[in-house]
Amino acid sequence: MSRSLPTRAALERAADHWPEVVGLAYLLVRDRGRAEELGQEAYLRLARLGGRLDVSRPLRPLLLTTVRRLAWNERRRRRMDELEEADVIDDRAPTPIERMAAGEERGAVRDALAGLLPAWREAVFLRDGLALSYREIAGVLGTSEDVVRTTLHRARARVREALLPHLLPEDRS
Amino acid sequence: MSCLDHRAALTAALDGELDGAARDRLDAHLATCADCMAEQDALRDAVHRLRADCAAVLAAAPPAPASLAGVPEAPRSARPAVATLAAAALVLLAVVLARRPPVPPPATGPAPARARAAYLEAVERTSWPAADELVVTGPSPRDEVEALVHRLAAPPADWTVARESPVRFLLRPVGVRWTAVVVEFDEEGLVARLVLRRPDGMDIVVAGAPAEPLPDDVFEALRVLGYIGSDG
Repeated sequence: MSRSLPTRAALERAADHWPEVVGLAYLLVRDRGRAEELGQEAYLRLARLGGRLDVSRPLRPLLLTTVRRLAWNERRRRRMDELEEADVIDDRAPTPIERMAAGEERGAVRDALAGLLPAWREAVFLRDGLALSYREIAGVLGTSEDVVRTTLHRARARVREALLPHLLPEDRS
Repeated sequence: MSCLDHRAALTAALDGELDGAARDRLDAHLATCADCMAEQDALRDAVHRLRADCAAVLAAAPPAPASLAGVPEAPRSARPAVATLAAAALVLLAVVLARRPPVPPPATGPAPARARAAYLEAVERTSWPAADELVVTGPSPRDEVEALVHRLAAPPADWTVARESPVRFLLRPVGVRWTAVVVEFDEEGLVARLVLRRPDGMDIVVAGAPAEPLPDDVFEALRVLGYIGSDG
């Protein structure tokens, strides 16, 4: 029988990635309900590929790429880059985590991930949350492995700097 | 090479993404540089913190809709005519379908009739909190879309209409959260009515013309998500 829809097995495999898909959307749009809707939209788009979907290939990168694109479109629509002070191009500017860290007690820095620039957030989530390789991350983000490496280093260095004021003197390097 | 040159390599090394000569160079440098060794430890702490945050994000994700796991084996011949319905609300349908109660066991009778029954049952049992926009696709000129807006029961001032492309419009109700989305099919699988119910109880008839065909992509979504069976 000729088919235009992905097989049941393919969709079942894809359903396993639901938390990852919604998690990535949430990190970009910061709204759990909207992230869930974007996740649903990503799955619908996959399903609508029908016979054009190569179910022999891993569906995870496709889903992540799709939901990421949807989330960035959502950010542009909601002008989140203008609304969020964190979303600045200049990575030398203080991020929310730095401002947060500056005003909190030692050990009270929470949610370091949310304090990063959105473009850093997604790279960190793909690496530290989903354990994707640099090559896989580059594929999802549509960039090079060198950019992935640099992005991850900047993000982690920023978190490390934010945590620094809360370390004991003997812990500081 | 200076310490600065080695710093970016520290992250790659922590991730196991540094091989061969580059790894050897970094190891040789770390053996003689306490500052970079301390930096590596600090970055490792940052990674641990970020991993914990990522784990929290994953743990907070809602359960997958049951509809994602089941795809009916459906022949394409079950599809009705390709649609021209300008107000097709695929986004709304996605919300409705994915938030619906578990799909009832397959019923007998024509697939379109089952789809209609499933929708009506879902609408009766559930309130839909999050549908806040309507994407209109199709070769509709702007005046047609604006005419559609004027057909709505709510004042047009409640909506914004943005043209995203020559064939794609985004209609967004301002400050409205629907409490119900009602989709009614006729016996031939065509959308008979698409109604949005506002919190104040007002019904907005988005598509109510008789015998408007079900859009192709909406039909496929219905089939994928389990509303239309394989024998339709």
